Amino acid sequence: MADLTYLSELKEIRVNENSPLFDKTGMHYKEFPSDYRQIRYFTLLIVQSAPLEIKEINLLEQQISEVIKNAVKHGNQCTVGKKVRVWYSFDSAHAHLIVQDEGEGFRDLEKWNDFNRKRLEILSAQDFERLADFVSWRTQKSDDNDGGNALFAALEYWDGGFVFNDARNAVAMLKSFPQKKHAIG
Amino acid sequence: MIINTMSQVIESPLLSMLIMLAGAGALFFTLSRKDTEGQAGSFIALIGFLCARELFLAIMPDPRFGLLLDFLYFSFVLFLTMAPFGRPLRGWLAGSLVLNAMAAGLHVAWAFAGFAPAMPAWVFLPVFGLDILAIALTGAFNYGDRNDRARHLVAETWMPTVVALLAYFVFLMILGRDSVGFQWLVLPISYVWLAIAGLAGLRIHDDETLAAVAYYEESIDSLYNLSFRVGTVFKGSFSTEDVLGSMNEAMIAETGADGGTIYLVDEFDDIIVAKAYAGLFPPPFALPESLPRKSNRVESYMKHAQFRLGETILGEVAKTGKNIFAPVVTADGRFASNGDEDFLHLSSFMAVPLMVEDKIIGVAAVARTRPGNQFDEANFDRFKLLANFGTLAVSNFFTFLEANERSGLERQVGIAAEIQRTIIPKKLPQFPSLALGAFSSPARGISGDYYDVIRTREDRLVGVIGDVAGKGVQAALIMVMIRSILHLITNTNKDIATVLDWVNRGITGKIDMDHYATLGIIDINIVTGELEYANASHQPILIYRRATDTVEAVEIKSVPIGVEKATKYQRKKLRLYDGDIAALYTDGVVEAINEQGRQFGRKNLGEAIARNRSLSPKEIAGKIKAEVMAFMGTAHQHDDQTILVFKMKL
Repeated sequence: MADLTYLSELKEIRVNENSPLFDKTGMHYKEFPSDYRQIRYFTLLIVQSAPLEIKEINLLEQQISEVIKNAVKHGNQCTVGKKVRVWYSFDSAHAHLIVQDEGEGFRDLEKWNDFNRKRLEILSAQDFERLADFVSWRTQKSDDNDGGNALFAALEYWDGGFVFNDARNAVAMLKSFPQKKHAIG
Repeated sequence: MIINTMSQVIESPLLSMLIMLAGAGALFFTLSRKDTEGQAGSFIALIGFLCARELFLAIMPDPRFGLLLDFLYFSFVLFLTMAPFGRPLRGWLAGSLVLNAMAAGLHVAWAFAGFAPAMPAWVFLPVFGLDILAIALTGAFNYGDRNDRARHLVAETWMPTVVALLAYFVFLMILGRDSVGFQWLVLPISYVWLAIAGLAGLRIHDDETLAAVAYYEESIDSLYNLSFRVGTVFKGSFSTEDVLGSMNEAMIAETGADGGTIYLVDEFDDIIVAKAYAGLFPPPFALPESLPRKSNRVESYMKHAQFRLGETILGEVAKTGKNIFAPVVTADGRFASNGDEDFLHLSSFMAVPLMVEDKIIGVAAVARTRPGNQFDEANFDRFKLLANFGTLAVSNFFTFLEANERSGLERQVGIAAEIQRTIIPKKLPQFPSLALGAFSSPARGISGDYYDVIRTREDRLVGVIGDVAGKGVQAALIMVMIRSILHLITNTNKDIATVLDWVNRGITGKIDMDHYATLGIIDINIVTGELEYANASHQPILIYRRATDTVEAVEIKSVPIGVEKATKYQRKKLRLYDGDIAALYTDGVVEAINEQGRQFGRKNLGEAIARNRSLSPKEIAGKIKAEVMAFMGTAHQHDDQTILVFKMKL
């Protein structure tokens, strides 16, 4: 029988508009046109307000860039007139982000969770033959540039939660940075 | 003998006896000055008592008093011999003293009060014999115990003491107290043991001092070696592993170990991680079953091992902070056997926590591997000493690393801020028909805002504002590049949108770093107020119209500098009339947030300009700065804030 203990700490995308992660109090705000070419620039504008003490800044940049990319591409279908709205706040212990697009919302969210659950089951059963079918998540709308893996990574990275609103066009996320328990110096 | 005259004193043995006792007393007095812990004080008291006794007996030569004082004398010596051994002999000591007291009491009753007159005098004698026997047995049984100075002294002097007391007692019995032989010969000689004890005490003290000096000399040598090794590393390396590696080697060398290892407590997690490993250090804990018992595999495992706090004998030390000294590992239940191979054989083991004040930062352990080759107490002492001092050096090193990293960040921030400060104009030009004003307040660590005013012709002025994305030195470099290109090409007769095209082409795709910037640029005719405005994704220019008392935001949709090389920027023709105000500003102004998280906003900015329309641009800039500051209150400024204001006076 497969080991199901991982289910207790199963990571999945949740939908909860009342999540405290959607509380925008005190957060900075920027909005951008859905211009795919400018994603790197937008990311930089947001990340530049992160404190110098955050050491894994490149990983943070990468993850923020992925979320904005999702909003621009899958949410707003790269329609320049549609806006991506970003609320963000950083301190040396946390990164908190809300990204909202003007698209129809993440319809396949449940499907994605199913897919991810199966993928984790197969991983835990070490069934490498079937794993080949679960390497990446693809839909009819996916193009060759979509690795289909960004969300797996996002779920791992945003350890404080990765939550959609009810319309599923906004996602709030929280990352906590490890804090020193035993300072040596 | 009853002393009546001075000459009798001189002729009696009393004087020489007192001189004898005074000599011994002087020895103990010297000892008591050097050594406040020992028994010198008790010996001085004994000598004082003996002097008093001799004086008393010279005046009152009653043999009944003599015997009574002998009980006291012997009891005193009993105490001096047995008390240093503490609890185990406390019962015997008390018993002996009680016996002496009872014998003395019985003697008083018998000799002075006529109690049981038929009892013969020899009844009391066995008590003295028992006293001497007790002293002899105490000395003989504890001969090897030299753990403190008082016991050491007993071990060295019990024989002369016994001989002296025995001789004293025997001759007292044979010759009688008043006999010339006893007074002149036996009594003074019997006190010689006190002098011997005094000399022995002094010698013991000197030996200890010498041993301590030798110990500290060796310790200082060890510490010197440790400091030398670790210090040599500091010169060439800033790596934690190198520093701990030399500390480990120093500890192995100074304890005569075959190998050693150092673990550090992880800064973020409750685990210890191997940081140094050298020589032969067989695992003191059970290896994983699956690990092949090959020396290279085990060594590589040991070099990268990590454990939770409390797990394995090393994790235990890191958790509890308690030393482990296991001279004979095979006789110690705390160690698991990992196999019969030679390289897995652990013979002797020591581990100590590395502590900074009361904080445990790691564990050091050393091992000997040859059967029968054991660490001794001195090795353990040395190991503890080195661990203490080594930790001090290492923790200073960590503090330095952290400070160095922080100052590296600070220096970067400082350099970027300095570049920014340098390239922003110190003074803005003023004209009869056009006045300018600006403020720029950088946020710590950002240094992305830029503004400039370039006079391109007699009647033409180019004003530019920019915001480089990113921060630090990198952003400052992009800013310098943009400024250089602008200063080169604004003097041409190209229109202002083409200037942006050229800046964009100059920046895009050439350098391997992020190179995005927004730019807002105006080309204004100083005399007529005619104005061309071009924009690379910058905040829209605000224009206050005096005629209508309204503020308009002129927007041109575009992408920032650096996104695409072929970008064609657009321009708009505008005109400033008398009293009109144009303002270029950066994100930081309109996106400044207050404690409630609300943004200052473009509307507030426009209203602030309109409210201060009658002031000079310099004053307007100042007012806006004050207003934004007041709005933010105690909230943190997260981005540079810059504003450049133009006002027409036709």
